[in-house]
Amino acid sequence: MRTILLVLTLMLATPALAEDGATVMAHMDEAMTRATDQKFHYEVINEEKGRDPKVMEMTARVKGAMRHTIFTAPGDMAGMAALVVGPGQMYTYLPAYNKVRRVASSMTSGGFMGTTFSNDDMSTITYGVSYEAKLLSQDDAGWKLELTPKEGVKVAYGKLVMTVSKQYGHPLVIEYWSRKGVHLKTETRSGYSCKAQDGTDDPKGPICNAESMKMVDHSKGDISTEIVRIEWEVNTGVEDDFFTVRNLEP
Amino acid sequence: MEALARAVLDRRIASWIVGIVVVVTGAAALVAGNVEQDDDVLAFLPATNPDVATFYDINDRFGGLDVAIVGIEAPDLFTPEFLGPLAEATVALNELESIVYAVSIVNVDDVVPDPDLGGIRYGQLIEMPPRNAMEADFIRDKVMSRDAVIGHLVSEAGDAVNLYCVLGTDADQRAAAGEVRAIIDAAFPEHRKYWGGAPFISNWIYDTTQADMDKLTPWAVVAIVLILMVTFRDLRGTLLALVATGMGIAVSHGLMATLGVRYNIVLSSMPVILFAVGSAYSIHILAHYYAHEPQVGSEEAIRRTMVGIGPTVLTAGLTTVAGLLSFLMMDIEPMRTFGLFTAIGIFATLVLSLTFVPAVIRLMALRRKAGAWSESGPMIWLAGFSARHRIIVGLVLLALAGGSVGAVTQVHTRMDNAAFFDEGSEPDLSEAFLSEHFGGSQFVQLWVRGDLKDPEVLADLRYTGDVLEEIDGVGASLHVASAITEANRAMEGIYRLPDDRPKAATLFGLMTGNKAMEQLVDDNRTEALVQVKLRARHADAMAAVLEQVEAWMADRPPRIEREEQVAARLAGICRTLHVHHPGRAGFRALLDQPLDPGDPTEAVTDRLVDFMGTDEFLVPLPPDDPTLPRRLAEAVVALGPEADADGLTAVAAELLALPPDDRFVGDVVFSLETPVQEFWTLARTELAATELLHQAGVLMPDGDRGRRLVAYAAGALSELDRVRPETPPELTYQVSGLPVLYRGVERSVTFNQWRSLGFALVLVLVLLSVVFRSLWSGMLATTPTALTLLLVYGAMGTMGVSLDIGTSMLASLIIGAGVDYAVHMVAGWRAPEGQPASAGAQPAARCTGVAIWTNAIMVAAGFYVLTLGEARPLQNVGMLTASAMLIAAMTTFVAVPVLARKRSYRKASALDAMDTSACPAETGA
Repeated sequence: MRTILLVLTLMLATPALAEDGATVMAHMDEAMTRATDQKFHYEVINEEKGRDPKVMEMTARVKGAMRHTIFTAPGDMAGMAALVVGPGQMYTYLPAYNKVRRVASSMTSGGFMGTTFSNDDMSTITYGVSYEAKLLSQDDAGWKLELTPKEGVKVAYGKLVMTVSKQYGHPLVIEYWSRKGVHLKTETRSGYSCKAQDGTDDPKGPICNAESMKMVDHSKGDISTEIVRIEWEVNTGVEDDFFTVRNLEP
Repeated sequence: MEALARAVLDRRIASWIVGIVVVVTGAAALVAGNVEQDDDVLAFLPATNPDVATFYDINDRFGGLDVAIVGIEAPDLFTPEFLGPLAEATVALNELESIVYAVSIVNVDDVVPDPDLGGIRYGQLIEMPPRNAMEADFIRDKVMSRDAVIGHLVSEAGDAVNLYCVLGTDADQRAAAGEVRAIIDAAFPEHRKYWGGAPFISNWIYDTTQADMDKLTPWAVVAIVLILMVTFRDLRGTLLALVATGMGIAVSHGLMATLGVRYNIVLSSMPVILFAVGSAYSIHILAHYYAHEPQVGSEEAIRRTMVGIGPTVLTAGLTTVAGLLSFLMMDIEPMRTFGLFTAIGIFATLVLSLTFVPAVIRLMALRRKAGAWSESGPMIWLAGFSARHRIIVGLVLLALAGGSVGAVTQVHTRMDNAAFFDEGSEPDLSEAFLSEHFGGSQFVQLWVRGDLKDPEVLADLRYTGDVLEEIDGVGASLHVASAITEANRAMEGIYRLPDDRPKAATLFGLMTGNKAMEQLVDDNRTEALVQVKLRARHADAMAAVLEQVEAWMADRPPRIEREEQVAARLAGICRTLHVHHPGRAGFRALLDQPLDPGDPTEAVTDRLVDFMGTDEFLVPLPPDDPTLPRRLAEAVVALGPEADADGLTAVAAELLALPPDDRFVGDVVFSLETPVQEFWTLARTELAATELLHQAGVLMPDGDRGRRLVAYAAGALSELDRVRPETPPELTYQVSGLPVLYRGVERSVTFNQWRSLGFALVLVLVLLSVVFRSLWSGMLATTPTALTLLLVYGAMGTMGVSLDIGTSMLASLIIGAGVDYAVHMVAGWRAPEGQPASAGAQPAARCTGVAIWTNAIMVAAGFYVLTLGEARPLQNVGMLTASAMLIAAMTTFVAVPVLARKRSYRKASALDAMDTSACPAETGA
């Protein structure tokens, strides 16, 4: 039933995509949330000119708006866990302190633990909630959208310019611009692969994900962060109560 | 010279000489425009000096040299009209590619407990500018309650702000400073702004010096031209002297461009120096030519001039080159570059004066108009007087020299900002503003090496900062231990350092990428900086503070008792909050006595009840029993501070009427286990802190300030419980910072002064001894310059002028330019037949007086013009060099007649080739 609905949605949506940015964005948001849940193991490599690359590893499970992340490297960070339950609402578990702390953070475009990805960048899963979309152009490979913040919605950027893959329905490139029109960062997502709903590899499957997400901060010279996907599972059947504060303690 | 004279007299060869010179200098002039500017004032710091090398090393690692500081006077600080533009400017600054990180009160991180929902709130100190008076008041109260921000980003009176802009390592300082200034100027067109930090100050020094040079050089040239015109009364002759000098400048600049040597602010004074000093050779040639020409005609006048004065000019020029080459002895690279290329320029003007100038004279048959200055009567009289009364005059000179020696010992090397800018200048006003509102702008830095994740290392580092703050003249200390304490408080709710290494490591991990942290600790957490802010602004006061810092660092015991650390912290807390306190010793004495803080049970119970109402308490208790939280809290508190999971499980299971293995009970225990221990510590130490502060006679401030005082003091006292390892942590401190840098530069300047002075004097003496084929004659020619040096340095000592990078150039310049006069005087010394040796004085003065004084006045005028600008280095060097040239000319006409013992110094010397008609006045030719 779910698959049929999906196919119907795609069939209905696709003809209008060429004319309508909102539809493309809705198509993208839908494509990015097709999985019931996902599990990733990432390597995060932060590179800055004149410094040794910094590498972190983490395992993240995502279900709806909930995200559970455990750091596995480097050693000082291993075991640290974070649970995001909503915008700006996070609980962290620090093994050294053996306690959970609730962390309420305000909107910020500042880097997440020294990376070029901000907390907002990391936690944004869908864009339709916060942005209006305008279709700028399209070619065989993708649609080019300009996303501007919705009235009354607080976001860190003045606009996003993104290229959405027609093949995957996911972003290929996202340009982050300030309110004053400064091109701040560019995120490139590449190496897409797809899985079927049952979690098996399927190049034509509905659930797709980029193997690499690289964010280059233009305002800070040569700083870049690449998030490399090491492992990826979909629809693992994880229960909602996995995403509880109690579960932050290993 | 005879052969050269013959060649020049050949009209065809003269034409070739002029043609070749014009082509070569034309080509040089074409490429000369390609010389690149180097505006790095910091390049003047001697890189090989150990203190300077350490300073650079530290700043390479932590980037302290690349911080641009903007201060803004803001009587309307907490208004939408000010905070709105400040927020926009802060964002715009952070979006600049050249700025790694810009921080102001708007975007500084703010981590505070969330009293309603529990945990912490993390965000910017000012999330958004106020929209009305009520919001403005709220923001004011919030900002002024952040002790870590007051005195750093906002003034204690709340009427001024600072923005710190950390430049990228590859950023163009000049461009970045310009971008920052443009953004701030646009945001605050009406407010008074102050521009501090190396990027602004370096730019100011460079721009001011360059602007002065651009503005004053034409006037210096005008002054020189006027003097030449008065002397020669011949426009063509004047132009010839100037063109020849200009060609020398073009050759020197062309060579710089070809070799890729960059122009620095000292080199920007080269044109004036070359015009003033380098034109002397052409002047001597022209003066002698003009003297001969009316009697013997142009061609013979050229020959007599070339043969007669040529060797002397050559000797004088080479001594100047030698003086300038002494700059190569310095360990400051731009000064070496200056010496080398100015020497090359001088050499070029020298060569041109002996080739191009006579060739042009030959082709144009120059003739001086009547009425030109042909001899200097006062100098003839003075030389004659000195020769006739040599004993008296000699004694006067000796007395002057003796007196000067005493005054010379009062010349001290001093290196601070005052060497670069005057009171009332933009950087001076900035320093005054930063000192007044933010406790200073200069820092002593302690370079710490050790395992920064070790709490004992952090405690030692913080103790060091606390104790150094006790020194009079120290404003505050900044170090990573403060940031870690704040972070630990976010986790544990108490202002103390983490009590074990894993906690410290976790906090460092969480702070990865924090730009403010990167200024204080390296990525590996093995090196850190303690920044000790100095209230002192001037070199002497800073040196005194530095001396105390170094003395304390040298004498400190390797192991500091915990009580001593805590006492220092308590005193530091009281200082921060401006409350009267008994000092470190007073607190130490109190800590050695038992405290009776009272029973914390009630406080712990209250805290537990509050905690159970927050989101950090994972499971909401059943709402049907409103007494349950307090009953549970009381039961938990009854277990005592050491309550373990089993005890908590039993209590929770009983009160909740659930089996001990029920998940709900487990969640309650998980929620309480760590906080309950923290609450005990917090309550106990807060009571103890209150009691201790009372015993210490500290008057508790009202309101939030009083609560903060207790909270900080409680954190300090809680550290008494941290287990002390048997051995002290391994860590080293190295003192650096601007005062150390200044001291290093002072040593370097002193060393450079003596080395270049010695080199120049010895080289000139050897050169003159060879030329005059007598050591004594060489010394005679060197004496007026040596005397000039004594008098000028004596005057510096008397007037309190310090030796610095600028004034350290004086000796070499004086030797290079001043010795020329004595060379001409000695070379022109010739007693008429049948008269004593002293009779040579007046003829020598007659031959050389005009040329020497023309040059001395020219040099003095050229350098004096430099004193009319804003740039302090140019003012000092200009005034002292101008004075020195006049003194050198004067002493030449006094000292040489007093000391000369021979009838002539040309006989049997390298100058012997000259014919006897070299001095036209004497020969009457």
